[in-house]
Amino acid sequence: MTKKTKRLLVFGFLILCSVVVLALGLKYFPFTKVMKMPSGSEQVFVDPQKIRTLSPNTLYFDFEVAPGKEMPGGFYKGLAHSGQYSVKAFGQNSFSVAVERTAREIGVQNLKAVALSAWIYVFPTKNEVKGSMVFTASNELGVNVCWEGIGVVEPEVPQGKWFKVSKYFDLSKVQFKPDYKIQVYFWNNSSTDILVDDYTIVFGGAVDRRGDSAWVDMTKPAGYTPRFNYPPFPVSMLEKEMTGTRSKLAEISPADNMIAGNFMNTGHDGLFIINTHGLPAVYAFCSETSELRKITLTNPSVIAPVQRVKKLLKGRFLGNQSDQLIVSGDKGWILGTFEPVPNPCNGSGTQQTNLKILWKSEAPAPSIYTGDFNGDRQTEILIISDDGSWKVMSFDTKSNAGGSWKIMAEDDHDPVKDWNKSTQEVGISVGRFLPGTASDLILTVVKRKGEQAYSYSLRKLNFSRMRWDPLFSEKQNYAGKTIGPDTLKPSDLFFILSAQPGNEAKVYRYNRSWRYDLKEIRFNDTTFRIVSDVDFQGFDKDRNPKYYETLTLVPGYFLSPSAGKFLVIGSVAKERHYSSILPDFVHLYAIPNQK
Amino acid sequence: MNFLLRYILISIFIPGLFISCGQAIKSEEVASEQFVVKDFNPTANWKTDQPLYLDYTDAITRGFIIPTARQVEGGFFKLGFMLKNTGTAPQNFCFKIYYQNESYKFPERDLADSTRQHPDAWENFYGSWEEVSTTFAETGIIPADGDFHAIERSFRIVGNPRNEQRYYTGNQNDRWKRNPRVGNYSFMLVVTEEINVKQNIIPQYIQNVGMQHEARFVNPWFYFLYGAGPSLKNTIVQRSSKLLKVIAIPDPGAGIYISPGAFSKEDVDKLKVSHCGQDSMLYRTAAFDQFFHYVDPATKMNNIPVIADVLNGPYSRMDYNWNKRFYRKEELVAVTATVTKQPCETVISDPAEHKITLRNPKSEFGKWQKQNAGVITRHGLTFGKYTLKCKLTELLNRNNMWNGVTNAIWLITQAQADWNFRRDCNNAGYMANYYGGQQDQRVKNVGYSEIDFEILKTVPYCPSWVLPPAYFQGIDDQNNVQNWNIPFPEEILADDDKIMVSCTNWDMACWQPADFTDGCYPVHHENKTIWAHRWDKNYRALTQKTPERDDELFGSKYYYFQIDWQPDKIIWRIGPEKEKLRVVGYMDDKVTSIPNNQMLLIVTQEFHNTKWWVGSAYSQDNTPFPKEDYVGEVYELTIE
Repeated sequence: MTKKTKRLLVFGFLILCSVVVLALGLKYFPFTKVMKMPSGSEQVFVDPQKIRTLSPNTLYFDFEVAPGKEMPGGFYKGLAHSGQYSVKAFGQNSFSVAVERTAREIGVQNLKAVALSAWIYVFPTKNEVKGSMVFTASNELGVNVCWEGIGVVEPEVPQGKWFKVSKYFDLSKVQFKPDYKIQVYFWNNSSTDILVDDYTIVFGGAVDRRGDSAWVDMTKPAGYTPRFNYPPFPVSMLEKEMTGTRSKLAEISPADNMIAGNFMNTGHDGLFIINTHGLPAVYAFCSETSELRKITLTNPSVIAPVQRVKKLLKGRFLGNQSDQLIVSGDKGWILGTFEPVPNPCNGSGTQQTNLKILWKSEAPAPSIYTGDFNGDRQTEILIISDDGSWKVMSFDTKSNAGGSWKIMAEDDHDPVKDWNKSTQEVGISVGRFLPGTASDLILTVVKRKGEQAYSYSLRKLNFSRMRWDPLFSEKQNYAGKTIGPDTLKPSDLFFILSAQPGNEAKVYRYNRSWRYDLKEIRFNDTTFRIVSDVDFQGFDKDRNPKYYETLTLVPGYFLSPSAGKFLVIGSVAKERHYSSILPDFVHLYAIPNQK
Repeated sequence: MNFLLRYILISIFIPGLFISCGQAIKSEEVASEQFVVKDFNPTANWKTDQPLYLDYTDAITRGFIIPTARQVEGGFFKLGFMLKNTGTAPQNFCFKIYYQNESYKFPERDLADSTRQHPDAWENFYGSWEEVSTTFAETGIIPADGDFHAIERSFRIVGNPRNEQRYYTGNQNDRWKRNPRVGNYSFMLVVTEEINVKQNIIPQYIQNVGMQHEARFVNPWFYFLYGAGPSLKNTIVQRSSKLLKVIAIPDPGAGIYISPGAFSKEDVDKLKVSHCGQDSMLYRTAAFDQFFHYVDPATKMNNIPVIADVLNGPYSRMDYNWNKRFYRKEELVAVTATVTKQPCETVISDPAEHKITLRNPKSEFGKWQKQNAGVITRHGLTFGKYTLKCKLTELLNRNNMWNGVTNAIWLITQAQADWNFRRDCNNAGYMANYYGGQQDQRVKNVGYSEIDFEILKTVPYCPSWVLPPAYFQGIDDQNNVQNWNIPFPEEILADDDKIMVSCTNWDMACWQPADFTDGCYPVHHENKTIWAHRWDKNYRALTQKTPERDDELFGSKYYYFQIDWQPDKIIWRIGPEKEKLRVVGYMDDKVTSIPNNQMLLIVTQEFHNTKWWVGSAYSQDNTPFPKEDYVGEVYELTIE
């Protein structure tokens, strides 16, 4: 090889390298480091109102300057996609105001992808338009590690009008570190004047669903083969009943403590509420107009001695047709009965009642439950201490003054282990969970500390032996089997209601640990079976109760003593400004008839 | 009445009487040295201006015949002209009729060199006597008596008029493989001296349209009008001003045939469904088959387990958002779109109303399905203006929520066999397979072709800076409704009540068109800019999209969709009436390879995996299973 040839080769190689470096440099050179890019405090040009309503992992800049503030450099007044201000990139190699963040601020985990959008205005020109909405990331040394752009290039770039640009960039190949700097700006690479407005930057990409994989595969030749307690489940619907307009719904919030019962001996259930401020209220449900009517409680201070109220219970302790109320609070608990209001729905005037205290405790109750544990159609109370010791008492009206609690059964130094709260999280519910039982049962759901698994049991009071007999067999270690992915949890609420006379009572399990999840279930001597998912229908617009942030279901027999309904109360936090989309509500929903 | 008035009245009414009575417009007198020809009438037994509707009876086996015995007595056109021997001795003259489809042809002359035949003019549908070996017919001896003598002969237009071997099966000429085209036919009479024929002064490949010259067919229209023909001695070429308009109207009420390839005769016979089945009568007369989609297993998706009447119910965007966030994967149902397991179940031909009803059947718990439904014509054609009057299912409900259906009106190759290959692609070739990937081999010929209307809820792909929209991403946070009930970007909401009319030509990525490219680029047509999009240079299809209101297209009593497939362009039009159509797609042979093989028309309501529709706001897997059937009706198909 001659010297000349060598020189030519070296020269050629250098030219080639220069071209490559230039090409890469154009893209990756940190112009933003050497060019003066306009910048300003974001506080100046971000509308806090819009920030509040942004979707997760989203940045939005409308570049509106707060009244009275000086217009920052790089801004343009009088022509904007929204508001009055936009940012400018005028002339060859000009840059708009850049939005800057560190990867730490965004969260490295949210930098797997980014979607950008902005509105562009090109002033009418005869020059070729060329520019890019740019996303860059640079490392601690200021060297670009990522450059992505939405090219705005001829042909047919609109002029003299706003148009939107958008794109999605997969960033999964970039290894972000917390101190990496991220910038978003518009780069004008043409001799034109360009305005930009309303940057939207969405980090993270699509969020995957929870879970593993679908169990039902209809593409297999066998199609769907039902699998006990495995989803999907049939869906049954709670049907909205017409409700009147006179109910003072604003007074009822799902955060209130409330209970339905036939407190005023009207023949069907009304509502007793203690709101979040500790104020009690009584409502009768007027079946003819299907609305709640407030009954003035003449002695609201009667519950003051037990405040703060933790739990409301009801029962027929006196042996008559009406329900009595137990209010259990931090300082004690009381048993009371309401003065009957025979026709609470008659007339337009305000009706009133008072709560007569039948009994008052000296100290707070550890945990208190009500039920007909011996099947005599009279309600007893079950008091369970944190160590699992217990006693069952009935209210004896024959004794002194207003009456007293008489112990019917109690543990003989042999507490129920499942009820010991020191070693586990415990949920206790009372009801006729098994069809055909003459007395109420106790459903206990526990999660032992330090363990992932949940277990549950059903117990029936054995009066003669003074113990709660487990209904599941010894073979199952006295616990119900859990089959399928749905597990009963201590936080679950259980409701038992009949749709109409003659219908078997339905058992509902309500869980909100992740989402609205109401299921009809059925217990047997081995396990529980999921009968259906329960949804709502008949609501206005798209105001499905399950979409509410807070949703309380109050079971009761509001219209008749035999037709079970749910009083459903929903609300969304005020700061969402969702009152026109999901207004707070109180509605009655009927449970479906048995087919 | 004065003379002038009488003259005016006669001038007005007499020609009118002739025209209204369908009398032939007679040709002028043309003379050569030896003879004179006049009154050439190619179709004396067919009324002028009366369109001829293709007779579908038995066309499935014989191909379309123009005319059939049901249309004119004897089943042939009567050709007639007057000839006067102006020579000195009695003579036997030779004559030949040529017909050519004028509506769908390439010009005979090369645009760059008018002395040469257009490179694709040989593809034009032209023919002559049915038996190609009958070159020129003879008049018999015509005395030189100074009188005109009437010459008559009959002919008809049939498929494969050049008797090309590619359309044969063994010794059988499958004329249906190259059916006569719809549109206007013109006629050319050539009368000449015997010597020009016998001594092959008129070349044999012109006398016999089935013969080739230098391995190519020579279009006799080029030869006689622009080639050597005009210089032939004693040869008169007469073109009739009379055009024959041919229209195909496949009757939706004529029943639906079930192809034996899809279901066995035993299975079909069990059904006892009227006007649908596999019997020989339907085989002979039905214009439509039930269409059974090929379901690509790769389109499998995990669908939400929701069964809802999206179209008639209150299904809303909030429902969509909740369903998107709050179902666990384990609760989803893995499905692909399906096809019916029972023929005739989802397509119904109504002979009284002359319509076909399509039904995507509803789902029930445990029988989750997104089942496609559709029909396909049975008689292939090349080119034509396909106008469909139909009311296909609505796609959006009152909350502008999509039901997941794609309404599709599309042309597809009749067969991917050699006989139905498209013309050569001389720049790199076609991608060999419809389903092949990027690395698929390229070949000179393919049989695959497809021209689509696909109407669904998706987004525009162009200009390049709009795709995809920057969607907000929700999370499954039930405690903050704003975290899961995510709004769509404003450009999506701006088209909330619109569905996308996507017009696609599957050109199999042939790079031959002069302006072939990829990405987004504007196509201009009649002061309108339509953006075209191709993902990359190996992508097999070019698409244009126009947003249109769902209520207008599928909420009205009916709507028209037209694919105007011409040799050098495809135009997609839609409109509320046939006379009020507007262009929603336009592609010509500068940007895409226009197919020239025989195709069938399909009308379907189908469920697409939206992964194939990049950037879509709604995904199929998050769209409920239908609680009620989605019903569509096909009222009329005209191909002209």
